[in-house]
Amino acid sequence: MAAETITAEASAAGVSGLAAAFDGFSRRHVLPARVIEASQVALDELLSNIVKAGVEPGNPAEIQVSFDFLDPVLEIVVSYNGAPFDPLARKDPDTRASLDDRAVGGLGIYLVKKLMDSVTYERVGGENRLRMTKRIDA
Amino acid sequence: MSLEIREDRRETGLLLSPVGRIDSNTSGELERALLAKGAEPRLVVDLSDVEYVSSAGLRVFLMLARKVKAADGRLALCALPPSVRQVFDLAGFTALFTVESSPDQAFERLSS
Amino acid sequence: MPEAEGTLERSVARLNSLLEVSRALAVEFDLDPLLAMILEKAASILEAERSTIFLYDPSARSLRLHLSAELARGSVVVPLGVGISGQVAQTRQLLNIPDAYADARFNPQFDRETGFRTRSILCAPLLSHKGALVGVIQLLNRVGGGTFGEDTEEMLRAFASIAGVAIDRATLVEAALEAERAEESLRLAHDIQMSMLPRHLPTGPGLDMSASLTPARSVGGDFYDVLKVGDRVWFAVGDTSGKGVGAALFTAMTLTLFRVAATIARDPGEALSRMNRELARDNESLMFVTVFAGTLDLASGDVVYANAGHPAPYILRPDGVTALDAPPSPALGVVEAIDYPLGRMNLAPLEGLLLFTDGVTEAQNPSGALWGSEPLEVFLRDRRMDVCAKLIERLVASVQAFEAGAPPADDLTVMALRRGPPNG
Repeated sequence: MAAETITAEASAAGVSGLAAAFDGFSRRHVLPARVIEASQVALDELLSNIVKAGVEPGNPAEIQVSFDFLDPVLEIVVSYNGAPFDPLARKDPDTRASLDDRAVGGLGIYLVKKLMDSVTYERVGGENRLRMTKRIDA
Repeated sequence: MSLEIREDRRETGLLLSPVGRIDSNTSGELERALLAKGAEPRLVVDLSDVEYVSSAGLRVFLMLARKVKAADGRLALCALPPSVRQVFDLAGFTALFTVESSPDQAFERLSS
Repeated sequence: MPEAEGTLERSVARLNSLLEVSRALAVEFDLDPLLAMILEKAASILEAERSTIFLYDPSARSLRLHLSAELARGSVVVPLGVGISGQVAQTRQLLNIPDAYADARFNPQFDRETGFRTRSILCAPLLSHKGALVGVIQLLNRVGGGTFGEDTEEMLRAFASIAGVAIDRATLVEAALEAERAEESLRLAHDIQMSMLPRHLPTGPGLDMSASLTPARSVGGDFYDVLKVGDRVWFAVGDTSGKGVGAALFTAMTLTLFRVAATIARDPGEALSRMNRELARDNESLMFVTVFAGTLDLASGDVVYANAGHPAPYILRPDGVTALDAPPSPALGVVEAIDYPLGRMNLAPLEGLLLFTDGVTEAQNPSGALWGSEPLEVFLRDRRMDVCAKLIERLVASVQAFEAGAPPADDLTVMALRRGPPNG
């Protein structure tokens, strides 16, 4: 079974830990460079979005990321607790953020949708879950 | 976290070379540095030492393009590494900029 | 010690009450009155001081209080496995507890909160016809201070089975209504989409033009438009992200903006910039739309175009097919204030353009393989000089042949235009 799961705190430090974990995973599975690069950016965009907007203030939530590679499909699943938050459907609800900051959500999510083959959101058992896939042979 | 941005004043214009990651942490710094040079008549940004660009970084480049245009200047990007090029292409940003493979070619294009 | 049960009278009374409840099940389709009746009958005939029904919430993996004479709906939530009711829910086995406080599984929390003193408990699971957990029915405190006997267990099982059927049925009805509403909204989205398309395409001796949109079942948001403004023909093909009524409305907005822009903008680049400004402003829903827009000067054949994130069209010439040089800029709605660069080219007489959406190149067959751009190019090389309507008809047929019955994942949209022969 090629799946790996890592849990981290929903903060900048936690996010870079998750990014490093993905680095390790992709090297172990010898994924093509452009797939790794695309997935890194997509993962970073989503994680930044979640850390900024999806977490209750004052309550550092947890983010769990699992990677799985079933040739030729790479699958990344990001789960996080907190209030229901779908970064794919709604802009950053933080109205205190400047217009520019809020707009970044739009470009970031557009980028994620273009970099990955598929990205979907669902709310399961009190948790938020984002699932991304990318084929290595496309 | 700080972003290093090298400057090289040439006859043909100003060359800026950011070094490192351009993400939500460092994009603010890039913004300050680049926008301060927005009035340059000919500006080239060399991306060969940029290992990563996120949407925050893309927005800074867009803002720079607008600033340069408003000042009747010209801007070109050059030497995009494959990972950065991929992000620019997929976001549709490559079409919005003058992109060349090297600083020399970029300055040549801006002078023509 | 359980009291002796089973005098004939009592048996008859119990069976009568079951019969009553069964009859009610047959005629009462409202779930709550039915469950209330079951609770009331069960408590009175089985001689319990209190009775409650909990419904199971699978997404929260817990029981929520649904009906009780003493407590408000939803006021008690019990996670699976916690307390007697949680245990029954988890194991789906009836539990008969003669002395609550002597049982380690009993959770005295609610007693403390409500001031009630639980002595005996009889708790049975409520199951769907497939055996899945839908809730729990609970009797508290045998009247007269005794404990619930085996006969009572059997009776409660019977009541539980009727309640289970009732809940099951209500869920199925709700699901059917939901499906009907979804169907309704799909129809609405489809109607919105189709009503926005242009009724007639400008054609004549100088111009042959045809377009076709084959919607996927859940309305993928494709559109096309053509309008004649002065001596230029404005044309556009686009694809809105998302599906359903929301996407259809976003598409409608895009088309309206296009029509306005076409009458006031100098060129397609300016048109897309104007449209983008409106669509990106306050775009709460993070939808975006890819558009390829162009103008054709009927007299000179000059084409000016701009591309917001859309697949580049093909140029159809008597001597071959090539992709138009139109690298995509960002889609509309993503970032405000974008200047869309212009492309220029010329169509000589008998030369044309083929525009399409990714529903063509990303059409899927039953094994999930994509059609791709190569088969499209092969097809176009073959059919490039066909009359536009025929070309499009054959293209759609080819794609559908490839799909081989697999339901289309996305709308299939194609537009072909060709300049007429030189004057003469």
